[in-house]
Amino acid sequence: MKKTIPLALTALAAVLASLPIALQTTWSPFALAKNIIVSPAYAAGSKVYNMRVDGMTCPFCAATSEKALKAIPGVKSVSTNLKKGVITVCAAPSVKLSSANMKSMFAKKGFTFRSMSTGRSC
Amino acid sequence: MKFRWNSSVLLASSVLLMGLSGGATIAAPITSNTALAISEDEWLLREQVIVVRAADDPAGLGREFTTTTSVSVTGYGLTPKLALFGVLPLTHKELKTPAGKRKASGFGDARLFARYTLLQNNSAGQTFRVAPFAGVELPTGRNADRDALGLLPTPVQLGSGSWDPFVGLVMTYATTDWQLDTSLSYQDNRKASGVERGNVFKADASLQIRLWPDELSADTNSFLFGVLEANLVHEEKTELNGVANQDSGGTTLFIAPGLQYAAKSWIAEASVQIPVVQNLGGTGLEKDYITRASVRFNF
Repeated sequence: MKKTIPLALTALAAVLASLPIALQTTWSPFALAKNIIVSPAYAAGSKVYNMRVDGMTCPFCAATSEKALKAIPGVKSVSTNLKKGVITVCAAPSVKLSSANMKSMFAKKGFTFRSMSTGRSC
Repeated sequence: MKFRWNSSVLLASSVLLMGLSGGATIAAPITSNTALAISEDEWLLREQVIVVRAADDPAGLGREFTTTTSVSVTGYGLTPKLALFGVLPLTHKELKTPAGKRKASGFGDARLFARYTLLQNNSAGQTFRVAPFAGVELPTGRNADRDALGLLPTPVQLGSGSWDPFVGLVMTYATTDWQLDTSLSYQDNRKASGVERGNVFKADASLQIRLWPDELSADTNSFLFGVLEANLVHEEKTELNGVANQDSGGTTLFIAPGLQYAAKSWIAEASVQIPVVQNLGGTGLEKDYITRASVRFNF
């Protein structure tokens, strides 16, 4: 009896520890049950930045900003919604983009950086 | 009436130069300037082929003047507000007259100028900008070519031989759906080899409307614009050795429909300028049309 409880607790701990892995794999019952499709990016870790930038009116205009963002190490993808004036950056968790840096970068491109929000995944 | 075909061809050439000056700068418009900036430390290259045909001869002599020019324009963003431009034309000119065919080929007069964003107001998917510009047209084209008939007429010469300053102001209001550009410019043509071409005043307007896609999304990577432009050109009379040539100068109004495809790193466009009003001095050779086709790249 004395050995049973620790063994049970150990087994329970093992199950609990394996849950994140189970949830992150597409073949796991949890993933299938919840119809979750997990992207490799998420599996590897990522975060998203949504930047509101004013002054971009055509794809040609957005290209220079996208090029500058893609040159940052760790940035995985960049897309622009011209109508809303929002640039979305998907990056590795190690990437740290600050509002001050973005304001300076976009000013050099001739645009106005207004605000930035972050999200957990791309 | 004694016909002074030299003067009329001179005017035709002047109008050609005006067309070059209006369309030779990098611009969202096809035939004139824009106030949209070049990003700092970015380059822009534009190659434009311009064909000018002037065969409407009021003197009834059957004169025809055709020029084909490839204009190379390079722009560089020195700062977010200050952009520098260089323009170099490579041209072929051919004039058919009762006396024979006169022609010349080679580089024309280059242009160097700077444009500064004086006013800028950005909002989501919109921008309003005002930018003055100033520069000089350099005497890089030959202005004393000869053929079997002697010295080529002034309009057939590739260059003016003089340093000619110019100034202007351009205003742009752009959204993701349409864009309006208007500009004014003035060029002071100086004297060289006894010839002083008339000073040139230009007023231009360009309206670009997005035809495709209907709706924008995050996947939108290119636009197709329908373009309608207007160019008003007024040239003062040319002086030969201090005497004004009455068969020179005049005012022309062009209307120019066109199309422009704008992708992320390049733009392709084409238009045709049609003269709807030509009030030329004396028996000036009137224009039939001007066609333009160009591509632009940013890098």
